[in-house]
Amino acid sequence: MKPISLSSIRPERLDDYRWRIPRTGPMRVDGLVYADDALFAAIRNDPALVQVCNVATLPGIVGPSMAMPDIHWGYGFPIGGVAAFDEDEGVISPGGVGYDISCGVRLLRTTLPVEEVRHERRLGPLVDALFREIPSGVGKTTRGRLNRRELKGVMLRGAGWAVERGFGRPADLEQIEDRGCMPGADPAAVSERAVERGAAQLGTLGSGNHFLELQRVDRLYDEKAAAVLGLVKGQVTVSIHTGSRGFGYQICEDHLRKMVKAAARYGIDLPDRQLCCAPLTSPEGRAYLGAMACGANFAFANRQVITQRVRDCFGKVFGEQETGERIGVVYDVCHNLAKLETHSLGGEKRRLCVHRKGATRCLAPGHPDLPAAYRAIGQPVLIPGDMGRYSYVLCGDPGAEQATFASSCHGAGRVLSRKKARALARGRSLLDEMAERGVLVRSQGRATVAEEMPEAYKDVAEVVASVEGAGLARRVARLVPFAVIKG
Amino acid sequence: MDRVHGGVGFEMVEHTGDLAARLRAPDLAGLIEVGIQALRALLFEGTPPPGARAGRGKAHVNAVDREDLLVQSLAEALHLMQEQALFPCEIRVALTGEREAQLTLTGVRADGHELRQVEEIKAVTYHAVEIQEHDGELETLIVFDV
Repeated sequence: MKPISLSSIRPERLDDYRWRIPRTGPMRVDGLVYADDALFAAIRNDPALVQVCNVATLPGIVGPSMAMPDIHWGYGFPIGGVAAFDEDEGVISPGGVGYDISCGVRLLRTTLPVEEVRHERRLGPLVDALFREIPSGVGKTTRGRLNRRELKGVMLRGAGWAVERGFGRPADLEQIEDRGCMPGADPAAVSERAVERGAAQLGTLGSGNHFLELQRVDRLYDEKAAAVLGLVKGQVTVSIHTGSRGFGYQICEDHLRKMVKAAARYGIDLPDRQLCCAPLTSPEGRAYLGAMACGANFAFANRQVITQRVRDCFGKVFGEQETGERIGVVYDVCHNLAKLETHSLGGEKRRLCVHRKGATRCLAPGHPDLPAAYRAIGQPVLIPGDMGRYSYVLCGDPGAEQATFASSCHGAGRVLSRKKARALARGRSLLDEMAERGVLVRSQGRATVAEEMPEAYKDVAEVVASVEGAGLARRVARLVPFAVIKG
Repeated sequence: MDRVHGGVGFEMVEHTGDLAARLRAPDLAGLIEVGIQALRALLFEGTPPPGARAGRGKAHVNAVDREDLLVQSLAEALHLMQEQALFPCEIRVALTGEREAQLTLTGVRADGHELRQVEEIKAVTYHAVEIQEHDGELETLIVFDV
């Protein structure tokens, strides 16, 4: 099947925040992009729109092929893509999840005011300690290697495995999507090579857009919800953005290879081979689901181990163990995952496999899968921005359940390629520029800082405004960074 | 193109989310070799210092068609280069069947300051891979997930 050409796409403006791409050619359903006029103008000629249309051609897709306002050109699915497939008639696609399975964001709250942490005698040692204790950068591994039995425990129990070994406490699990353990994990569906790659990477941040950030709570938009989340103005928070590292990448690669063959065997015609897939009910589909859950659990455990390292570092620098111990988990949510969920469609409850690639689950208040403490406010949705501006904490609204299979955006979305960002950074001292903005940056490589410069991203405030305007989620708090650790 | 040998080589092209390269070579084995050169250029910085530790890696690939052969071969080469920090000075690609290739990368370990790995590439993707013939040469786009 030939991909749909960008020039043939004729988007229609539905309202202030939604653009419909009418079904055409091999598309089985419409495309639907959430973006205000300015954001849409920026992506109108982006190949990401072709990717929205390509996803719409996949068998068993239910509802439109959607994209969130942080949409940008990915591979196969667009980044920011959401697509749901019927459990019986639909497919699962590793490309609809991405290589970094269960990449996500965890937000921690401290009991410390920003003045105390930014103190000149404390901030440097704290950032040094975090940089030292949480390996980051290209190919970085942790000090110890997991043996096969331990890694199997990670695959099956996720963050719970880490807590059992002293990385955090049981209460942490309450504030993690799926309590830090995706059901259905099947270690038998994970290759030896994935095991080998994952064995030394638990507790590492990685490179690229992954980060650990110290932030201050800068603004509150919904004080009641912020109070429930334990957020107060001026307080220090810590964001952790990382995923399943080489373990997840290898799982995706292994199963993509199988799906290339499987798609042909099941007669699935693809406009882009990266969308290769298999029926959810097929052996290949089930194997991928089992392996993907192992990857998701690795990512949950990874963020859990890093959480304890953060606590240890705060404890050491602030001279009292209690300071570190009082750091709590606000929430932990994935943005690269496919999940079997129940949604209402035309008044009928249906089991669907919702692919979110660069998109976040976003449950409305009252949803039974929410932690009891958050049931009244909806699911926290953690939206990192760039390292120079701000990030947001949102909470899910009922609109998302009705319109996007309970999904929201996941970040700012790139606007410059890495190549362009590096060119723009030439001759500049980005570390100095960031310092002038009040942000201390520690990075293993200069190139990463250049690629991740603030100008490389959309203003996340605009992305969040579209999400809120469309009724998917509402702003609760804005977090401003003052120290960033990059790979 | 960044590396040109009589019109053969690769050039990095714009891609918002990831890294992309256009590859060109007279035949499929050459296309795979050029793709490995592109990976090498992206992954490493510096030049092999005298006395660097030697390294060698081999892989055998079995694919469903030539696009799959290209992607899988580059994925195997990427694995050797990243997991063993292998900077390949010599790249040998032998097509052992219509959809089979044998790769041999011989070089040095990039584990010092003079030669080091500076980029992490998660994977070689199938996205946009379509090998086409232009003026007697094969050409395709390839996207690397970073």
